[in-house]
Amino acid sequence: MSFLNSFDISGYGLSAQRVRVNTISQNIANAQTTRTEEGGPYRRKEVVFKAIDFNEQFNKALGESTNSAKYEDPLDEGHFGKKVNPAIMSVVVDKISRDDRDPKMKFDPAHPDADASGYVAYPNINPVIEMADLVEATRSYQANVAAFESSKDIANSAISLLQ
Amino acid sequence: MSIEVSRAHDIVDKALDYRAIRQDMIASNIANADTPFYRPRDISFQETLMAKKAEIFNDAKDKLELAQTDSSHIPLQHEKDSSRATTFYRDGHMARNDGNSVDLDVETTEMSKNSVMFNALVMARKKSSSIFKSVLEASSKTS
Repeated sequence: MSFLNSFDISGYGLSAQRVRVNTISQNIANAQTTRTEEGGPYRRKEVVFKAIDFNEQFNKALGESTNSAKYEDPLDEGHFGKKVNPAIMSVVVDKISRDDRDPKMKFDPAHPDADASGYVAYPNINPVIEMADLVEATRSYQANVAAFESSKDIANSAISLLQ
Repeated sequence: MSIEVSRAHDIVDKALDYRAIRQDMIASNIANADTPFYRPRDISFQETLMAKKAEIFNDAKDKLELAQTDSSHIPLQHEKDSSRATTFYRDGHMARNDGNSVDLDVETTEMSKNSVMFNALVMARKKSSSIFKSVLEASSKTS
């Protein structure tokens, strides 16, 4: 089971980066949105990642659903019960935070959402920043794909030992 | 007790174990490439494998160990712990503004090195097994 850990870790990385890409797309799509359900213009959203101890999470799930033996960290040879520091870490999306900076005010008295002095509040979104973030997220996604391919390569060659 | 064909098998198996763990650690470094305050970590492969090799081949210790000459001495725990794999933070580079110091170039390079070495070890393991297999086949023909 521990051999396929890196598959899961890369998979979590893929899903986290995909959430990030989705959020950035949402920001770009809503760059001109002046009406939202909570009122006011659209607010920019940002994804915050968090590193989690993979083995700890795995053991928790294992303990809840089965009564199998606990999975011990392979780095911990003959030192069961002691925690290896640093542990193997995976990644999850911790939260999606809202960017509450002041909206961009644009003078447009003809707009239906213009205030008394004729200014319209537009979302404070810079497309250049969003595109740079998007490229970064895409590259990270590709790096995770490369990691996954390499793990698969390793697993297949270990399986070939049986032949 | 298992039948010991070659002690070199043990060390190849251990090397495969450590390579697999390294793969996990590098995968987790890449997965956390955008996590704030994350520091990339790695296992000191050579050191760990050399310690394991000394253990498997019963090599003479290259350093003089501290002896416990009196029962009231505090036992040397850290000496026993030395067989455990040691990890380190790979902080060779400047951290970014969010405190993350993962370098994707370094990680991907290390990963391909690691998987090539893993495959090489698998090949070596297969080759040495096939030697014993051919001996067994030859002995079954002569009888």
